[in-house]
Amino acid sequence: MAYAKRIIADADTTDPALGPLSGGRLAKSDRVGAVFNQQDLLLGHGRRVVASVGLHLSPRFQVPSTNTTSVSQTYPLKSASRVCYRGTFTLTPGHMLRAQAVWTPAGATQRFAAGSWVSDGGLGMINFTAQFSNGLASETVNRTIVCDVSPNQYNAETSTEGAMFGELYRGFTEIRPNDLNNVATMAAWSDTAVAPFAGVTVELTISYRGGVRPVDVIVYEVPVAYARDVSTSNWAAALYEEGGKPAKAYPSAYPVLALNTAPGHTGLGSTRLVETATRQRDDLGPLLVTWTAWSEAVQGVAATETAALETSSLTWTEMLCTSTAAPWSADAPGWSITCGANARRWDTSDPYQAMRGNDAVVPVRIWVRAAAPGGSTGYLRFHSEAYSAMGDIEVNSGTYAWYSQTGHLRCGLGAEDTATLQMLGMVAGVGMTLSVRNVTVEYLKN
Amino acid sequence: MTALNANSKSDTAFLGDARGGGGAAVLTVDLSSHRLDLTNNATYLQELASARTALSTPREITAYFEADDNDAGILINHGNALGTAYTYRVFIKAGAVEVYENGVLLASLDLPNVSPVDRAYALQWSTRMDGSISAQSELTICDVTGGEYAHAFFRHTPASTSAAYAFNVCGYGAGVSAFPIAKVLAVRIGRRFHSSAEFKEDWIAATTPPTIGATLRDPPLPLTADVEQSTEAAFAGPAYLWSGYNTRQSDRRLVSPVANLRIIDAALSAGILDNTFATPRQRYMRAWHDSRYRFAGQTIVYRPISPKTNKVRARVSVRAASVGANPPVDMQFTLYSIAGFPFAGEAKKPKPVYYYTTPVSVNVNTGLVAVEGEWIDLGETRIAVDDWGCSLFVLAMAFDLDSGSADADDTRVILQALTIDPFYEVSDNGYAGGFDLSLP
Repeated sequence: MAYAKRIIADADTTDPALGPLSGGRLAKSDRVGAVFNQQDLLLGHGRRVVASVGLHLSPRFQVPSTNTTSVSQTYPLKSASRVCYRGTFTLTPGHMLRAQAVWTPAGATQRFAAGSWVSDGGLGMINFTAQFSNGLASETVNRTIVCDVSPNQYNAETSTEGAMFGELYRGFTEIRPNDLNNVATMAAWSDTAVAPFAGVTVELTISYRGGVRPVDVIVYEVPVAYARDVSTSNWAAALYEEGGKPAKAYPSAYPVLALNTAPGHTGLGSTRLVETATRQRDDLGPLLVTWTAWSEAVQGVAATETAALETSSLTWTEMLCTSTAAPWSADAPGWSITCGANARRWDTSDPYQAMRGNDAVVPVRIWVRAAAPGGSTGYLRFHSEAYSAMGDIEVNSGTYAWYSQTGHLRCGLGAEDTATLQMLGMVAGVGMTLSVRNVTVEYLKN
Repeated sequence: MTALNANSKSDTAFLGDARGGGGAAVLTVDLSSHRLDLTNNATYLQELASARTALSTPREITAYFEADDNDAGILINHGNALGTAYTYRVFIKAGAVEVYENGVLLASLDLPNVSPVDRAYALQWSTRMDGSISAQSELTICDVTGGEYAHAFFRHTPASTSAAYAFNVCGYGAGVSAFPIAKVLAVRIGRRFHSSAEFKEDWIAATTPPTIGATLRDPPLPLTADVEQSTEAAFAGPAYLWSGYNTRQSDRRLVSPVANLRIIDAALSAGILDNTFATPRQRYMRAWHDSRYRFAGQTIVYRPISPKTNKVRARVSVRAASVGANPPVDMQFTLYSIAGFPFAGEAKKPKPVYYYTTPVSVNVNTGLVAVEGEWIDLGETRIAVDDWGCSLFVLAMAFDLDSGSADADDTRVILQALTIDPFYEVSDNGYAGGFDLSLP
């Protein structure tokens, strides 16, 4: 089996001139090479944040700085793993994951001894578990960031003015399947070889052990390399250069049609060029929202799962800010989805007919991890304007599971515009409860 | 000559628009590119054997009409003369809209604010494939006068259709069960999915976009791989030109938000800030540009920066109030982007590079409890990128520029949300911008 591969770490497009390829001009082969090259480099633009948890506007950490001897439990158990984030998403082709954290020194843990809770020592570990699936196989990767522990009494935070800023630590760890130096392995995890060629999917979990004081913990995509078995099709890059070798010599001084119908990889086919450009246009897009109900200020130290956001409302109610005037309010808080304007599609947001250049929509898939206990039925709907909504996601199981729905949301024209996404929930009957722990909003591949 | 209509689009199969008056005589005139008028039968409009409206999925059906809570009748139908078989049917039934395909009721949605008096409504039923088997429909209704919207979403099997079916505006066949045609002001049938945002642009009110300084990309048109003549080694052009253009337009597709922070209701009480900055003290540090401001440590995010961005725009959602007799004082906010932050446990580095948004001074008096709060636009700033390809962002704030007045002492604020969105803006002649982070 033959493979083609290109390293895309730090790749960046340079937008070559297209004039020589336009009508009436004598195009040269170097213009063709430049177009192929840009397709490969485009994959290097990804730095999507796919998971985030931390202090995030809460002034108070879950882990306190109080006396570690107490009547009731005030610190987490040393051995308990406390899940603070779950997410699912599709990986950008050629990208792997990097976990990165900023923290202040970790706090204490407790154990129960002789009728009271006492210190069990300071500890702070942030654990990441990612299950990669490519339609043929799956691989689970576990990584850990170990946090420095506070040397103060009770492993407390230093309490002088601004002390947090002098005690900010950062660290990272790569989350990747094993043996990526093997080109076949790299090909297996760069992209999927199975229809509908949607990409490698990931289920990600972040958990804390001990007295972690997380300021900002994220997982984001980093471009690594893109590799394909040359007998496959529907690539996300043309792979014009292979693994750092010199660029291919184009067989003609002028652009010619190369149907690429012969077996094997030539990397120079105009057919492949168009197919790849189409795939990049259809499948690449932002990850707009990644959210967990974990709140440092209110999450109990004994719980091993995120305390869910709940509603028992019989009418649509915004779940994070229940004071929001339903169904949507420009004044109320929400998530910004203006980056959706970077990934518009011609059939719903072309600037001449569909939206006339005044506005834009982005097609998305929304994932929610939710449950409706005790025979309840709950519904979720998302609005980015009163007129722009998607849903309804029906939650009807008492066991937490992933639910998803697709739709189009108004996203504005870019960062200088405004597009605020709000999440509404309701239940079907009196006495029912809808519980939500996690939300991911990702671009919907075509 | 028929005037052009902005709602006649390339996918429009039929468009009749009598919102300017003229009733059925005007409604029957087809404003689409087909220019095939319907037959005006006084109480209904019809096209027999309407292949152009024999649409299953994707499809758009829009109607603009007046209705009261007693009106009933079929508004739009594509089916046989007996009404026993049809592709789609839109039925108004005493204050509600029912939509059907192939004899099956798919959804029912009440007309917002319907009353005994006629109100103007616009509805759009838009359908697309979701996966390879099922269709996903969105039904959107707008009370044009009151501005309220109602939505329904439903999944179903794509409809079967027949080019032999007739297309009716009002009723089926010879106008059986017709909705009063005098109340129908516009109808459009389209061949592609239309989002509810497009519905609002076309039929309710056009959006006035803000001034955009960022480099925007257009979504490129589709092109099939066989665009060229299929002769190996023949001269080629469009494939290379289009692909090169497409790559340029796609180069920012992966750019995602830098930060999207929200706090839940239950955590709001823990997040009340005042000018003592003591909740707790270690969380706040004097800002670098002006010691009257304090960095708020709970707003710190440390995020990677895409190569195709060089600026961010930030907004913060707050609640504010006074616990004293007088209103709250003005508050000042600015967002920093920092490279080279002196993280603990690392070798000493040169001084950090930082940029910050032009500080904004606002007076917010929303109350603290059971309110929505207010968004504050922090503006934009360049991004300072460090050796990890990341930037540390933090909000700095002040109460009346640290005046220490009694009213400042009484002011309370809660930070509810913080959004940071990246973009690319071509720098100016170099005096302020210097080297761009990346090429345009």
